[in-house]
Amino acid sequence: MSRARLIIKEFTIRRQGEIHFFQVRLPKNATHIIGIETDALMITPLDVSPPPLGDGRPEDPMPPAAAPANRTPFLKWNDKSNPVIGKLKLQSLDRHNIFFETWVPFVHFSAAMPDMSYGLFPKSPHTLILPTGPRTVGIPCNNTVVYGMYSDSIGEERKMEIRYKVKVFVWVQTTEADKGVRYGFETKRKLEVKL
Amino acid sequence: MNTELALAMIKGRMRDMRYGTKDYTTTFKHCVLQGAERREIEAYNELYFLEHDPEDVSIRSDFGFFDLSFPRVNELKYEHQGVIQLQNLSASVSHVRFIQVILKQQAKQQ
Amino acid sequence: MSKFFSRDYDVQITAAAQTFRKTIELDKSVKAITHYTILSNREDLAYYRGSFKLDINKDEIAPDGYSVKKVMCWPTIPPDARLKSIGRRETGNGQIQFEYTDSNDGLTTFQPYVITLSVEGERED
Repeated sequence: MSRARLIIKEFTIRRQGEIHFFQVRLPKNATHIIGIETDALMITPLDVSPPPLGDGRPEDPMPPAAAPANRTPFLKWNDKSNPVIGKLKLQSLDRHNIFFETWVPFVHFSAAMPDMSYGLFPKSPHTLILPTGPRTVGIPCNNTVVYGMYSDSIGEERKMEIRYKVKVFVWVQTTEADKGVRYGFETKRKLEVKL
Repeated sequence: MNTELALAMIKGRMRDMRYGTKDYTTTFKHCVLQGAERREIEAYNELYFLEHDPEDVSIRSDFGFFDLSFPRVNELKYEHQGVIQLQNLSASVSHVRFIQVILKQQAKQQ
Repeated sequence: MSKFFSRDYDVQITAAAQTFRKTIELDKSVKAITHYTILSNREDLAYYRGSFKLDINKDEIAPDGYSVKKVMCWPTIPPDARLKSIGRRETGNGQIQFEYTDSNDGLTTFQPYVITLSVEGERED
């Protein structure tokens, strides 16, 4: 079996609404791109509570008809939100053109705990429980370069210069012998439905 | 970017995407934008290559960005696809010239 | 017949924004490593600030800069995935090289903390 390798690309976003183009260099023996993970390191202190909705007075008794829904929590435990920080797109130079596109979230520590602040079983707009492990891509790569584009959205949204480091993890399949190394996501069994 | 370079790039780019020279057509598209006009071009399954460096125009697309007056970008792209948004940043008329690459039907079937 | 092996190795993180290296010599009886994870006494600091590199027998399991949060675990991770599986890597020369890099970020302030590399594997005796 062949070995999976991890390629890491890091870049820093410094300004509001910045657009960053980059290239990920893959090793020469890479045959497939099998998965993508993203991560971020916040350098600017980030206000943990979400920006106020509407006019900033959630207790407004008679909201105007066009105002966003009143989401005042009745059981407030924490008001941590997981902001989306930007959009990432990856382009292969082969026929698989733009093969990956995602909103990159910044997930707070223990934000995956059940968020009770919106009641017991409602959909919370802030809890963003992400599947662990890379998102599967599975495309062959003939080139040793993947083009990437990242556009900042958290700075645009909050109207301030937020500095952070974005990390893109590209898992590639190479022609090396694996020597027993099989990562968890490679061996993960897919859910099968037998009829 | 000039026309010769754009044409040479198109050839290489289409070959990389496994299209032969007979599988696509190139045409020229010259957009005239009135003052502060915003226009959208839908270019799914097509590629648009900028043939010059248009000034006072902001071009955003699925995997591209071109705006000579935008300071917060590290590169500019001449290749555009998907929904292309053109925005004239000046109050006077601006011109944008593209070379448009259209795939032929046979190419899709292969 | 191989037996179960599990061991934790601590690294003291004493200064902010620095890299700490540790070379671990495994027992001769340990034949293979199958799982690993990273624990800490200050999990929030490790989560926000940490990145690491892990080599087993000079074979790169995780390259420099991989985020610690990708191998940490919390309640929503399925119980069988709380330790990251790496198949079955034979230990060979018995060396594990672990590098932990702490980097400053805007959400936490540095305090000395301990990072623990926890490995599971197979041993023979």
